[in-house]
Amino acid sequence: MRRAFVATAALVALAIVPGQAYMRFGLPINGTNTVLRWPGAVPYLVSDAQLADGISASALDQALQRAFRAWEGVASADVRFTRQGFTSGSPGDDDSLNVLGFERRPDLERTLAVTTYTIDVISGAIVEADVQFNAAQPWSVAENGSAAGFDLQAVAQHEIGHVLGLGHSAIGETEVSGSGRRLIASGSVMFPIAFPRGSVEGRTLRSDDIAGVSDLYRRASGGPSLGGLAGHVRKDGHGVFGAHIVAYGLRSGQIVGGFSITDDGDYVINGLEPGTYVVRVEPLDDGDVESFFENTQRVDLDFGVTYYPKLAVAPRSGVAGDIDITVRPR
Amino acid sequence: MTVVRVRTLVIAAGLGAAALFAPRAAAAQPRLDVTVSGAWWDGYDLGQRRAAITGPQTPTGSPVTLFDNDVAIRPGPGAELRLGWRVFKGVYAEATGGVGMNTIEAHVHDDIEQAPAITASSALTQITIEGGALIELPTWRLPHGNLVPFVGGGGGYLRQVHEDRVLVETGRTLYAGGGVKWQSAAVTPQRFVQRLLLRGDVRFVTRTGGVDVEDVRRHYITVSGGVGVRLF
Repeated sequence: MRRAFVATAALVALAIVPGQAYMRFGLPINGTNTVLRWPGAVPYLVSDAQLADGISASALDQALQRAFRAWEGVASADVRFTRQGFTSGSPGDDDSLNVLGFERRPDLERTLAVTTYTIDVISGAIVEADVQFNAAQPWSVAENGSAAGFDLQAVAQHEIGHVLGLGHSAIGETEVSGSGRRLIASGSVMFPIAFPRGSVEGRTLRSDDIAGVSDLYRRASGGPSLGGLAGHVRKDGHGVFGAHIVAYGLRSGQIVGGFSITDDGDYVINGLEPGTYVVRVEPLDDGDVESFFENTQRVDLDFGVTYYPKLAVAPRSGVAGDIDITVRPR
Repeated sequence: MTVVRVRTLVIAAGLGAAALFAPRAAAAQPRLDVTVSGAWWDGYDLGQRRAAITGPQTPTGSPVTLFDNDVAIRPGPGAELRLGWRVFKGVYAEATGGVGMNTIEAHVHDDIEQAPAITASSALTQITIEGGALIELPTWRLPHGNLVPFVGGGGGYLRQVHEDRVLVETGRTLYAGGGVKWQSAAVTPQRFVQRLLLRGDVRFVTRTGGVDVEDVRRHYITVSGGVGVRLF
């Protein structure tokens, strides 16, 4: 078995910028883009090897259980986790176990937590996913939040989203603050910048998170009807790579995003309740790009916010195509 | 050869029209009115919807607006077919099938990044199948026919088909309204077709379900006018 660390995803306290949308992690396996996805229930262990100030192993365990339950509670997705107890191992160990726990990383001054994967690059199967919470940051498990620390459950929910195979959402707004960025608003647990200390908003999965996990782990039966929108983003007759597309449901109130991820500007947004949508396209801001794409050079940032001139309609199943949007250089 | 065929058709049509208007001394009691109408289905506001995400206030955040949407169904032309079966003197049981060619639109404005406002729209075909009662009011006798005002009400099924038939949504309607029918005094010699009708309707419609942004009743007006025949 050949293994490789293919992805790391960090949630930061201050950094990066706005946007919207869920993105699925994937990698090329035998020439085919393979989406990272667990085939069944995901087993996990809680590391008590290191703890953060004021956070007991039991408090960590309970916060994690609440975070896992939040994802399991998505009605339109079939997501299950299996708690296997505590381990004295560290989340960074290469042991084929999924371990979540604290590690003290004062060098990562803005990073709250990191998720790492080990992938079988032959089959595309996830061998291991670990979550490291940075013990150098202040943490809170207070029921109503505490200004003394970042809400552990909220950050765990973000990282568990990565464990499930979700990338960062760009549904959020930030502004420059010193050498980093300050959160103005967030519309997704998977937004790469956390709510500030004292906030518990990150405990609530948003429509973008739910659409993403439902796309990856669609409930085989009994779930709600979900459709999708697809099309192209073009500029000057050519496809736009890395455009951020947001669908807003006029009835559902869903705000779900996606990216154009080919040179033809193709995009697909799944997990939408049937109905009528306003579709908006925007470029990622400069500071945002590396949170979403490895090859930042390909990402086109030179166009203005543009709305699809018609209302798009998501069907009860399948995808409505030809939602093509032409943007213009700034 | 083609010319001969056309002439034959013209003559046949002329004979048919003459027969339709020829007076007849003793007509059987009419029982079924069939009317085809052109219509105007009014639009209505669906309200404002705000695309908002969550601000960083603690412990819970305030909404931050990405953009606002004023949503509405826009008016459009339509067509209606009515079958009215006389069950008592002056009382009809009526079945109506209607099609309205409307538009759903959203005026999108106040974008957080100052994008220009736009109005996005999509075609919406509305189909109704309704049943109800029609009650004729006292008749006004005119030289060439009778003018019959009426009131009525009923309800039925609403089917709304989005552009390109991507999605169908359904709901229910209730209506109340009124209008006038003009019935020709001339009685046709045909066995089944007895009189010509002209009819105008105004309906106040209440709709539940179907295309909307929230679960509330919506109200709109339809206006129609058409021609018909009285059968049997």
